[in-house]
Formats: sequence, C-alpha cells, structure tokens
Amino acid sequence: MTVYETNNTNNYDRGFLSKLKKEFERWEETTLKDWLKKKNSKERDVKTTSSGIPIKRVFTPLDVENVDYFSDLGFPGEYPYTRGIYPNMYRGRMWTIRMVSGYGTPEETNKRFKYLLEHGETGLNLVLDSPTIYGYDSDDPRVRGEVGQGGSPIVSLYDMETAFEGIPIENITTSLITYFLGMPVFAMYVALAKKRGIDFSRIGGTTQNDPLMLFHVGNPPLPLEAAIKLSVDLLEWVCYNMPKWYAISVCGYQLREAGATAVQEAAYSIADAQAFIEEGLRRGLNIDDIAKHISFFLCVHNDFFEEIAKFRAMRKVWARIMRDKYKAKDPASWMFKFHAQTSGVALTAQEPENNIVRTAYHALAAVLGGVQSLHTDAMDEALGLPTAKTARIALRTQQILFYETNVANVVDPLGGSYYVEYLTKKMEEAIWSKLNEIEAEGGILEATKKMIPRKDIEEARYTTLLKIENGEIPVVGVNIFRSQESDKLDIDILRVTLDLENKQIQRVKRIRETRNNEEVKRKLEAMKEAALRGENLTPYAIDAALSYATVGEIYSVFREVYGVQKTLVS
Amino acid sequence: MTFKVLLAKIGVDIHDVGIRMIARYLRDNGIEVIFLGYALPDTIVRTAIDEDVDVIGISSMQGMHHVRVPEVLELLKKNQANIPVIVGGIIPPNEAEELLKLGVKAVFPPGSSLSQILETIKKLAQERRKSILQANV
Repeated sequence: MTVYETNNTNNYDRGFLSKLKKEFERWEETTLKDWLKKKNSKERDVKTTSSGIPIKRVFTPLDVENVDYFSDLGFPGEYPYTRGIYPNMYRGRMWTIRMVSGYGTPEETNKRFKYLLEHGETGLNLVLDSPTIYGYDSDDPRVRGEVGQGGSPIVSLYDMETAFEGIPIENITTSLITYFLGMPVFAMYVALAKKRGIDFSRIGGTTQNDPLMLFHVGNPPLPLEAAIKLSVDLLEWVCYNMPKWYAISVCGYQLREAGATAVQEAAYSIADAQAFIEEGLRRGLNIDDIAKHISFFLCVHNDFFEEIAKFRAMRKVWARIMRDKYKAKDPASWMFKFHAQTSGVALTAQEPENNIVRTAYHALAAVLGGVQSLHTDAMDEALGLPTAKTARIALRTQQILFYETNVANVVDPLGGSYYVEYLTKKMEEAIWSKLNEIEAEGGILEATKKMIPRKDIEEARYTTLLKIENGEIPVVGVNIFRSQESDKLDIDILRVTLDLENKQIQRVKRIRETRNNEEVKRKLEAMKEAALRGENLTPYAIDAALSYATVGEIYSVFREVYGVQKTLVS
Repeated sequence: MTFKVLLAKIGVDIHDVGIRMIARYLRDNGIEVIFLGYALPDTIVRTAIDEDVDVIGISSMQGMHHVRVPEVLELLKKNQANIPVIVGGIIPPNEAEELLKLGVKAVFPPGSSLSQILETIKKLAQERRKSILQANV
C-alpha cells in the first residue's frame, strides 16, 4: 500500500516564520478588524474550494511552510514534474489544439475536420456516435434516431476512409473518442494506415479505451473482466507495434462531468490507470513500455485555482507512483501527460453566448495547469452540436490565449503562489488519501465491483445538484440574474436530420453488398475462436476491419463470447 | 396511492446521469419511480401500461427525441393509454415547441429546476387521476 507521508524541510527559516506569524496576527487584529468594523462585518464566508479543501481570506508563507521547493516542486521537466513535464513548456511548442469533431455522417465529419484544420487546428479528435460506442451498426433498428447525433458513425473501414479522406494521418495525431473499448474503431484506423501503405510506427494518436469509466458513471455494454481484457489487448499490441500511440487515455473527464469532485476525478483516474498497468505487467510487458502508451483525459471546471492545483498535484502523484511503486526507470515514464476538455456541464442553455466566456476561463486554467492538448467547448454545447461558427469561436479561444495574452511565455507562472502551492499540496494529500481508501478495498477492480466509486461520485453529483437548486452554487443566467431574455434563443442550432441518418444507413448497406461477405464471416469466426482461446484479439480485429467487417459484427463476437453487462443500479 | 413515474432513456444515448439524478430526487420527494434505464419505445409503453404509471419521463441528450418521442406518443394512442409524457435534456426551444405541439406535456431543457420538474409531474399525475376517477363515477 502506498502511504503518503511528509518528510519535508522548511522553505523558510524559523526566525522569518515566527516574525511573519506575529505580523500576521497584528494585521488581523488591526487593519483587518478595523476594515470589517467599518463595513459592518459584511464579508462572504467562503470556507472551502468546490471539492471541499479548506480555504481562507488570504494566504502567506505560513501556509506553505511545509512545501519544500526541491522535493515538492522541483524544476520543470524534472521529477516530480509539479511545474510541468517539459523544461520549457509552451516556449518550445504550443499545446495541441484538438477539437472534438464528428456528427451526421463520415462525409460531414470529414468536412468539419478540414474546416478546423484550415483554421489552425493542430490535432484531430474524432468523436463517435453512441451506436458506434455501444457496438451497433447504423442500420440496427434499435438505434433509430441516434445515428450521427453525438458524434460520427464509424461502422466500417469505409466510414474511416471517408472521414479521413484527404488527411495525411502520418503527419497529424488523431484522438479516437471511443469511450469504452478502443479496439473496433482503432482496428479500422490501423487498417486505414495499412491500406494507405503507411508504416504503423509513424502513426500517432490516442484511443480512449478506458472501460472502467463507464462502470463508475455510465452503462457499460460488456462485463468488467472482458472489458479490461480487451482494453489491455490493445495496450499490449500497441506496445509492440506503435511507438507513437497512446493505447489508453484514462477518462477522468466523464467522471467529472457526471458529478465527481476534482479530488474524485483525480484519484479515480489515477487508480483506474493502475488497473491497466497491472494487467499489462501480468502479461509480461515492461513498466517503461506500458508507461509510454498511457495518458489522461481530464476536465477543466469552474473552480479556477483548484483546477490548476489538480493538474499540478496529479503530475506529482503520478510521478511518484510510476517511480516508486512500479519502479519505472526511464524518467519519461514518470511524466503525467494529459488532454483536457473544458467542462460541458458548466455551460448553460440560457444566454449561450456567456459560455464563450466560461470556456475561455476553463481554457486558461488548463494552460496554467500545464496541459498537453486541449479541446474547448462551443457555446452551444447545452443546446446541440457545435455549428461551424461556434466551433471556430472555440478554436479561436485557444489561439487568442496562446498568441495574444502572453500567459504561455513563462513556465508554470503560478508556481510559488502561496494559495496555489497550498492548494496543490492539499490536493495531493486528498488524492493520496483516496488512493489509500481504494487500496484498502482491495484495489480499484474490487472497489469497482462493489460500485464504491460509482456511489461516491453519485453522492457528490446529487449534493451539487441540490446546491444549484437552492442557489448555493450560483449559475449566472440560470439561478441568478435570469431574465426573460435568458431563455430566448437567437443562435442557429445544428440539427442532425433523419436524411443524414438514412444516408448513413445506405452507406452501411452498400458496404454489406460490395465487400466479400464470405471473407468477413471467416475472419469474424477466426476472431471468435481466438477469443475462446483467450488470445489477444487486436490482430484479428484489424484483419476483420481490413475486410470491412462492421463495428456491430465485431461487437457481436464480444457479446457472444463474453456476455453482456446487466444495467448497473447503484 | 403515491404517484408513479416511469423514467427512461431511449436507445443507447450514453448520457444517463441526469435522469438518474431526477429519479433520485423524485424518490426523495415521495414519488414512486420505475427507472427503466435504456429501453425502446414499445418496452416503455408496455411497462407504463402494465405498471399503470401516472407520468412517463424521457431523457434525450443526443437528439433522438425528434424520432423516438413521436413513436412513444403514437404507441400510447394506439393502446388508448392516457399517460402524459414529459421530456428533458438537450432540447433547444424550437424543438421543444415541436414536441409540445405533438402532445408532449412539458419539456425541461438544461437549467430547469428540480422543484419545477417535481411540481409538473405532480400536476400531470393529479390531472390523470382525476380524469380516471371522474370517468369511473
């Protein structure tokens, strides 16, 4: 069990601290007291951050006396990476602008990719529709009305070819927002590279491929053990074949959006990552190989400084776990790499233009927190899918931040802030404490079986909801300053019509008619047999994808062999 | 007898946190909730009739309401079931109007208050009970 302990030396000498303490008490007794008396003691009584870390009026070196510069912060690019994973951060290279894209049909998705690239996007981020995520083809009657709604349908290699038509995938990294299992859609992406004759070693990108997330906050389609097996199948295959691919992007984001606090988001994602690491180690992979293929996907929410502290603390906790618990030797393995997305639930349907401002603050927090790649939500998030215009504004938000504000000119500009360093330390302690709780339950997989994270997050969500309901958490234009105009809408909404769905269904039908169905059947049968033998299924999935097997057909093999997960009720 | 509400998502729309929270809030406020999770319109309508629920609540976060909600209304009509339907989720004002025209009794976009949802459900349930009891006299 990893137990957190402090063994730090002081940052400040004793004489200074005792003088400061005396001076601080004097200030409280005189200047502050007089001021409050004059103002009839009217002061907002804010006691904690949004995840419950105690805060007070003002912070001084007294609050960071146990923060040691060398062991707690260090220099950027060096252990424990609190100040950033690279020595020069954005002076070397800007973070990657990676905008979530995908809706309607693969053709529409391709148009959006190109539109964003033309406007300066630097990485791709393909979001799938729910039918694809859950393993149903667009022509499956049970997903009627849902095709292309929250993302792009990617049913077969044909859809992947269309979505990436004219885009040189060897020159740009792509994130595949697969939610649960990465394998079927990843197989199609790899098949695309193979058909284009590109060496796998040149393909860079990320698959989400974190099934634990849906056990904590959603509705997982396959049982836990099978899901872990299939997720780590991809990790294992990638370790041997694709040096530039992140096989698992651990999903703190969805936990947070479903109601987790910053502490829960941080601790559960770090715990989840260890489940995959341990399964990888069990398969004989080296920790230094595994580490290079795991990254994180996190949320940036409203509590500005706490979010920055969260990212700094996560880097530190991760570095320590990788170095001390797993004994990774290569410093690159200690680096906590993350993509962030601005919070969607923090955005409002009322007065949607205000969301541009909210997102800008979120983006600023991500950058001050040392993000590697960033998606900024569009202002119409609470109303529908982003239009080209709102997606462009969201993209511009990042460009303005980098090119105009100068915030990215200095590494970790908030380092040394009494408040931020205090919060970072407290956040770190809170993360360790939750990690220890999880270990006491027998590890994250045992805790997941007992639905401990699920209940924990649900409690937090419900508490927040009631606080918004009673106004304790203010939301401008919703529970405060709501006017008649707040609910009037004068922006265009993107609606994915049934016409697009029907078009996509025709695409799927065309593929079923033109491909070699015997070959597909044979390859799926081979995959099933391999599954029954317990083999790594990734090569079989790629082979099936090359023959235009569909996501539904691949998933059918999974469902047949492993069964389906009963709905989780917590 | 307490009011009984059936809550469901249709199909596979991955966002189910909101409706689970609504389920909990309604239960905490004395409403009996049948939470179906993910279901298709025929299951929703069959269960609603079998369980004699007072209100059906559907969550739509990814736009399926324009196809699936009319199906639910159609099936209810076909089965002569007088059960009011409400919808919550990512539904812009113009689409909310369309749903209301089709016969949905209330639409709750993001930013709706919990108490407002509760009150609407109570009112709709009362109206339904009243019409049944009056018809039986």
